[in-house]
Amino acid sequence: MPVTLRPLNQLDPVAVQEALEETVQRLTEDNPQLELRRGVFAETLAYYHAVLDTQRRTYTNDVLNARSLKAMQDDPTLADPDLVDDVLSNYRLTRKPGRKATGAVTVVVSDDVTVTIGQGSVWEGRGHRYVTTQVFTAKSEAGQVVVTGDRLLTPASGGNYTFTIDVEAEDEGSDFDLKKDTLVVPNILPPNYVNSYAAEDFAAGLSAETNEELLARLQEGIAAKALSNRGNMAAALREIDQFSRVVAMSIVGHGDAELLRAYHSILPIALGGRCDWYIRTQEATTAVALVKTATLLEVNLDGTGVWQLGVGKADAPGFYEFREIRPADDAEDAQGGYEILSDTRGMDLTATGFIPDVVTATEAAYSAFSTAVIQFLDTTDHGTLTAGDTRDYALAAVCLPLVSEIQTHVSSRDVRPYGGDCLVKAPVPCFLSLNFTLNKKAGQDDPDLDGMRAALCQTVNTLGFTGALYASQLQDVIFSYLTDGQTASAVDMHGRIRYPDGTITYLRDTEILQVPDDPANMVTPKTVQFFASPGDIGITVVTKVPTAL
Amino acid sequence: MSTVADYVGRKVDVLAFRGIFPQLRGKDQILAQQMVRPGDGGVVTAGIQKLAQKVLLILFTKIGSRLYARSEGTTFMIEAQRGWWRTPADVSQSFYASRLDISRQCRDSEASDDPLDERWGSLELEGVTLSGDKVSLRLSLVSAAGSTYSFLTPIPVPIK
Repeated sequence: MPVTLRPLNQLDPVAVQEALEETVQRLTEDNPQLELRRGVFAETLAYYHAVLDTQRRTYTNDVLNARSLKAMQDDPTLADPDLVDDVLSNYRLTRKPGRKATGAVTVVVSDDVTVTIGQGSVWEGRGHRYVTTQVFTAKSEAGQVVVTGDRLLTPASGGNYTFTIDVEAEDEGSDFDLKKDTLVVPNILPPNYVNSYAAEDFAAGLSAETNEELLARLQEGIAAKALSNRGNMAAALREIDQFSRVVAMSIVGHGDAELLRAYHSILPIALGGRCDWYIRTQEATTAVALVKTATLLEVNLDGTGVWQLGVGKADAPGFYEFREIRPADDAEDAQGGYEILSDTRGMDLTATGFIPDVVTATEAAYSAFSTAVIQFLDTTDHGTLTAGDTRDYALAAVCLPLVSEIQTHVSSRDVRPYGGDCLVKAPVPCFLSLNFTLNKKAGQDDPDLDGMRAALCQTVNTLGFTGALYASQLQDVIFSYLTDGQTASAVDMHGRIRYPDGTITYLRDTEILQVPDDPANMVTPKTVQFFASPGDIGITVVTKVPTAL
Repeated sequence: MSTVADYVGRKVDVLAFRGIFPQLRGKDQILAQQMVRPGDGGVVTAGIQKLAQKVLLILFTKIGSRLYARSEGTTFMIEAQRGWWRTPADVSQSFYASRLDISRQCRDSEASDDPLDERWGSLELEGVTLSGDKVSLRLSLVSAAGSTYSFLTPIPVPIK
């Protein structure tokens, strides 16, 4: 917010009073015969001079404070962003720009006639607007698809056809992120329109760095960019443009009980030279679409079949879990997915260059070296298929991006510490669902539920490694969306922690979700992050009728 | 009768309420709120006329209306604006409720070495005239010196 003259009604009364006394004093010294205590001179001349003088002095102080590093840190919201940029450039810090969320939308139409979607066409999902950045033309013949905006109409179930278009959020910010399969509808319906939804998790949007965020990085700006202490390491990572917007990080090193890799010795003592670097690279998880060839293990008596597929370390580095396993040739239409019977994690340390010291799949979990073997139950009739047959299946791997890229960077010879190794991991996830009820009066509109969900997600997803989520933090957000007389119930917070060894632990409370202190399993406040997405926030709005009038 | 020489060295204020000093003409004269009139460049005032002006300013200032001097003024004009006045008795009631505030604020702004004719003595409401959308107050101000100053001031009021 730029420094501007404060409104006359927002001045410090004490400052005005002091200015008035000074004005009266100075005028009296200059002309002792003026009556300046009460009267016309006092109330129309001295008083308003004092008010305007206070406004100018306050403005001057605001400008001076905005140039003071101490004052900026005391009140970052007051400082002019340009002035903050100027000052922090002295510490080699520059403000990170914002980014618009982008993604593909699948459009379902009932006929295979050519459909044109104009540039700037507006689509809405979860209360946010998205626009097409170019013209898209869906055509029925593959040979007609020649330019970048051309799309092929692909037959889908029910006699419908689908095509995809690319859209971009109208504004910058993470609240524009959409999950796969979220309904995204056009403002103007194209011909033969049936349905449309997000074809993938949208690439994360970002807001431009605020003064608070920029000032929080001040220590990193001053710090040497090297893998040394925690401040240095954070600075070293954020110095690189690709990794500059990581949300939170926690470095577990020598002396931390969570560092199981410190015990790789025949001696029962912790050795130095290793660290686990838990990095939340973006606010929300993303779903990477994979197509893998599965092998039929057995056909059950009821005709269903148990299949197995493998996920390599490069498929979705640092993956958390898998969902929506569907036949690859029916991936667009099938909802949900087949039941996962087992998810066995492994590791793959084959690579050139330096590999961190990892000896178990649990240690490798959520790192770039983790692999998985998935067995699932295909409930369709397998007919003549026999064990050993193969088939392609689509699945989504839930993960955080950049884990592999950061690992590659910190393992490079020029960067890594010569005295040890550094294993980059996505944080241990605690997937949240929130449920609460809003009470409103008869005749009142509902609060902005989509905005409330987005704000709650941002609050949860930017908490950092606090180890606890308090309902009061959420209530604070909820309250900001309520209008006169509206109230909110207790928030039912439900968390699901997936331990590195695959164990699932549930947390549930209406006051505080406390991360367990279980360093033997690498689950502590230093390693766990809460994840929330708008689809996991249930809000019930009810109208409360007064019992007495 | 006083002359200009009597007021040499006094603190002066701008005269905002014009009206011939009633005692000179021997009859009531309605005050006009007018800092500058055609033909003159403004007038300063001292003595009991300055005190009378101060009293009027306090009486007519709505208490709380000045953001950084919220305790200044009275409820007199607030009640006038709200249309509470139906009879002279209503006006009288508002006036006497405000008089205490006037007295307090006048005394607060005085110094012990101020001339006695510029210091608060008493204030009485001698008459109220309701006429259409106007109320005329006939006030009698007595300074600490015992001098008396009577004046009439019209106040437009909303009609309910």
